[in-house]
Amino acid sequence: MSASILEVRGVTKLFGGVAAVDGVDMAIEPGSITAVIGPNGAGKTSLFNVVTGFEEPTSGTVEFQGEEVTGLQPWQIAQKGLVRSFQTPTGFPALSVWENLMVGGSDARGESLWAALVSGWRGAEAATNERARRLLEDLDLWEVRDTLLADLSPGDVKLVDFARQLMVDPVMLLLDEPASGVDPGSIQRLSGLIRRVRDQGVTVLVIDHNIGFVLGIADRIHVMSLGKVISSGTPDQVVKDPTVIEIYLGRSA
Amino acid sequence: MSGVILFLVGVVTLAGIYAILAMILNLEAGWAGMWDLGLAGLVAVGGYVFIITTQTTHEDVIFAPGWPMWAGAIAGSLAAGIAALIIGIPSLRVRGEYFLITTLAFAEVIRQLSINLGTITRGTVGFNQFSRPFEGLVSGSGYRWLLLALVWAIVLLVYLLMRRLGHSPYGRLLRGFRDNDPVARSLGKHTNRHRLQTFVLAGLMYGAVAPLYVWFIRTVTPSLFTSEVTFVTWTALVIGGIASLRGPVIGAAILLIVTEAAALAQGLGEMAVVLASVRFIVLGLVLILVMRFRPEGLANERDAFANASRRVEA
Repeated sequence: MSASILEVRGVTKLFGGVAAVDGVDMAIEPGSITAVIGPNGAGKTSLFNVVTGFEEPTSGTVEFQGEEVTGLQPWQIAQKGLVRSFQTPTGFPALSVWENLMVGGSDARGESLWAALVSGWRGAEAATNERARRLLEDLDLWEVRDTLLADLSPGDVKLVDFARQLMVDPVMLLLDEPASGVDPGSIQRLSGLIRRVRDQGVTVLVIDHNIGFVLGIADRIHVMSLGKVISSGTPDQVVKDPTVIEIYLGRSA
Repeated sequence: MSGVILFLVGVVTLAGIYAILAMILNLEAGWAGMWDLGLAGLVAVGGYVFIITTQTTHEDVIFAPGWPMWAGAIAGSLAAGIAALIIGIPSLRVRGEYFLITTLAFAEVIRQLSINLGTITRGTVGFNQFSRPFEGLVSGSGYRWLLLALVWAIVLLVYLLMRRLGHSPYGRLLRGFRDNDPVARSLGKHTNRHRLQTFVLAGLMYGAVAPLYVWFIRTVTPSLFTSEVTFVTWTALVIGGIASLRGPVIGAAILLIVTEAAALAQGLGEMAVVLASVRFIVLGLVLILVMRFRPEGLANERDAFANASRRVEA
């Protein structure tokens, strides 16, 4: 086993005395798809928020590529290549599909006030546009590139979310419920996309409620309940774990 | 008859000044999402610094360095930019309604300072003896036409600048994080720095425009910079179409011409008192009609930035 790309050590997040995340340790292998599952309120999204800098942990540390990122701002963590999505379909509603991708793919220099006022932006835009075009064609979204995100179906907004994140050229993706709100027929396609991104060398950490979807793509699964990781292993190991069956899969197993 | 024409020239000049203010407000509020209710304060800083630094006589005031007009205008712009920086750093940490309150309070503080620092601002009396640029070139009423041309030339310049900013990656990012700051940050964007830069740029521009307003009104007193300036600018922007490109100019032109026309009627008859209040009725009516039938404003963001992908390919 190679050195982990993301290392979460003893992370606790208290909200007024309630531990949303309670002493979580987690090591993610590079080039893997890892899933975090667990019932509502298990602390999955809070863990994401701590890892990506949106919440500061009460205690514990987060290391990304061997470098401590605890306490950094979200934009600093994202610039290191750790890019997350959000649960609800999001993005920039007043921008077109194409503009949403371009924002993801543009760097701070091209987007600076100086470039806008003085030095121009044509060169950087042309290169970013090439990447956006390839990705949009790939996702069958090229035809709707000039449609505002606000006018798109929720399923397509999810796809644009995913594409916008890829435009950042991430080292690791954190996907918060990518399959929620996606129609069953498109889930296969989403799984394929996530696998392909992994095959290109991007590490993926995914939270989802959809057990079928998660079991289908994950190399490794961590099960959370009440802020703690209660079980970890391959999909096969996890579904056979009696604790997991009891508290989480109990209803369907 | 010529009186009526000169009055109309004045109205169109004032509309141009408000068009510039509304374009700057559109940058910070329409695109960057910073709902500034203190723009009158920034214009006041620019106007006062300009008039104080260009004063030559020490009568009543302790500071009258007598700088040339261009230096005074630059000083006014810089002072307003610095004021924006000083209020921006603390107030941009809070969002939404808190930003509104902070900026509104700032404008009132500036107004109170202009009243109470009598030894440099001449208090409520203010300034009314000062020269204006190119006054030697034309005489009497000709100067009104000159000021009209000057103001609308600057409207055009600011419009071209705003169009460039709006279509740039910088403008696109502003319109993006305005609606969703967390997603922008999750993509590695330092959104607070962009906000502060934009707010300071708006401050510099409000300060730079202030001399035009001062030359048009021909006096500088605290009553010129009340929140009415802020609210007329906001109304013009909302009527014209917030976050669009042409909206601020269209809105300011329609609003000022419609409301000042009431003032023209007022000058003609004995019903002055009645007609003075008509101005506000007209203003409200225009706003209600636009909001009812074109809630996005006469121009809109959607059309202004349509087919953005084709601009790169072209």
